[in-house]
Amino acid sequence: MMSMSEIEYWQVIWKKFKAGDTKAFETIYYEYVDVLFSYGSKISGDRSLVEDSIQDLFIDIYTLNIELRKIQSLEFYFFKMLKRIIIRKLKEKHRFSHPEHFIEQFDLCFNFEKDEKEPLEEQLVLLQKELQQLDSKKRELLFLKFNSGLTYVEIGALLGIKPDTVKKQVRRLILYIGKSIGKKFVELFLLCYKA
Amino acid sequence: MSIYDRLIENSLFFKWIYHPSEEIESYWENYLKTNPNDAERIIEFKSRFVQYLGYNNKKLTDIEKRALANRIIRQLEKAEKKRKYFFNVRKTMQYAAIAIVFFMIGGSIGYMYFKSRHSVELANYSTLPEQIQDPLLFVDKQAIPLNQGKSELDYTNNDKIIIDKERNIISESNTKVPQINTLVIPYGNRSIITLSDSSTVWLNAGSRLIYPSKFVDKTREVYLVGEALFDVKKNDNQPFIVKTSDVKIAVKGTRFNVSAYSEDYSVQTALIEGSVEVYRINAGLFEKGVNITPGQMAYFNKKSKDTKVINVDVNKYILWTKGLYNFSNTELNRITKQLERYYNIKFKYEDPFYGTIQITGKLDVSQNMSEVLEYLSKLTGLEITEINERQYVIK
Repeated sequence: MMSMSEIEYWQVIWKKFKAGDTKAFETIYYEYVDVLFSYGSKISGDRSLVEDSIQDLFIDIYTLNIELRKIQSLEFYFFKMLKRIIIRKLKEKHRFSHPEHFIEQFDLCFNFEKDEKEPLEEQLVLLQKELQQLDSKKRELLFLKFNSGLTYVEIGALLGIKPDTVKKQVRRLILYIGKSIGKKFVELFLLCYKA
Repeated sequence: MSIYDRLIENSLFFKWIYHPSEEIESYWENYLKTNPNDAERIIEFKSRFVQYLGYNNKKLTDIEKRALANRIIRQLEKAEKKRKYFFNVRKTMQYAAIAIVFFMIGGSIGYMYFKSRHSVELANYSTLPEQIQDPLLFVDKQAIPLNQGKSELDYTNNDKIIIDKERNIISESNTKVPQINTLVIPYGNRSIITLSDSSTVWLNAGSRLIYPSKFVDKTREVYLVGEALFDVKKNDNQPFIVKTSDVKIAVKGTRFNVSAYSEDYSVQTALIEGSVEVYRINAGLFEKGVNITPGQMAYFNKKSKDTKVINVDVNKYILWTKGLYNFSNTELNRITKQLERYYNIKFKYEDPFYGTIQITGKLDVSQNMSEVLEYLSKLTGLEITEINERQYVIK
């Protein structure tokens, strides 16, 4: 969530950017370029294609007459447009090969680090299983949740799923991790209490 | 809400895990200090995230980021040009639509409108050959040579043009259609014109003024390239309008100076008395002009196309009519430019840096030129030497 002063700040920057101010462009660019690049890289492994898409994204938002109802939705807009541009480019690229496979899988792989000495707690076994079964959409969902300030509604809109589904999915994973901590904490607490 | 619920709704928590930076670290350090009860669970929660939900991110290096930013900036500049073009096309289309409506209302209105084609003619006359060396008056394409140096023209005696108080030129007495007069005053010359409505115009060196021998239209329109001081006779029924290639100045009886040299980056309108309104030349139908009051100058930037209003000592802007130039913290470049115009000579700087020296003082250009140059040389501490009749070197 943005604070009032943050909102005002970005409104000014946005206005300046639309008026052609290079400094304002750089402010927006450096705020978003990292996350946009890592998001784009997970849709396509082609670095230069992702870079070109980021370039097109900024040209588009500059030239098109965009009605930004709220400055808070700027981030949503970036993700949505970048994805659209990358997919368009991928379609062009794979026009003559296998159009049915043109969209690569959302390439988010969690490095589930297992300690070989200790057996996994029950919840973590479930987590590992769940992570292995995540489909492309759910991987993207988690990426957006972990890498942006997007709301559940916005993530849902990006992926074409219900906001509720997004929330549930996120909470499931979190619960696996959180639960065992709670337990551990209780154990710790009991240990202290007994002693 | 449990602590975990709160954490996962906080995007700063994920930033802390996946995109740590100094600011984020210090934010959480502070957060943990103020919430000591939750601290342990938060840290544990975070470390588990890193352990089980960590992933690899592809990143751009700083150099790649910079390069991409520069690439985008170049593209944005290109897009900016295109955008302006489209905007203009759209505007033109709007006017075209308005024009069509007008024609539908009635051809007669259109006919009457196009009958007063003065401004079109004025514009055509402004494209005279650039390299005219002697002062000339064109009356309907007939060229009349004028005195070198200073000349005077008087249009107040019906069909006669009196030149330098003695020469009478009878314009062909087809008085119904006034003739278009074009006065060309090259560098090194000046002229004073009294127009048919008794308004007076001082025309500075390197300027040309286009005007009708008589004002018969609804407005009194003249076209200026260069610099002139206007002293306009008041007539509310027939507004006086000065057009330049970039601005249009609407006037009711008043005194003001306009500097609109084609090689300058600005058009400056300084007002001494009365009131004037300055418009862009291609202003939209409903675009408002900039109003200035005595003591103010409207500074129109040709590049950005906007007009700024500045408070100035307006008397400085009309000193040239008395052969005086007043400078305060003015770059030598500007002064030599004015002297070039006044004496029709050229200066060369041995070191271009000299041109940026700022000087303050007064030059009386009605004096002998060599005296003026000697004075300027003293003022700047630079040497001004003659190469030939028209060329001088500053070193």
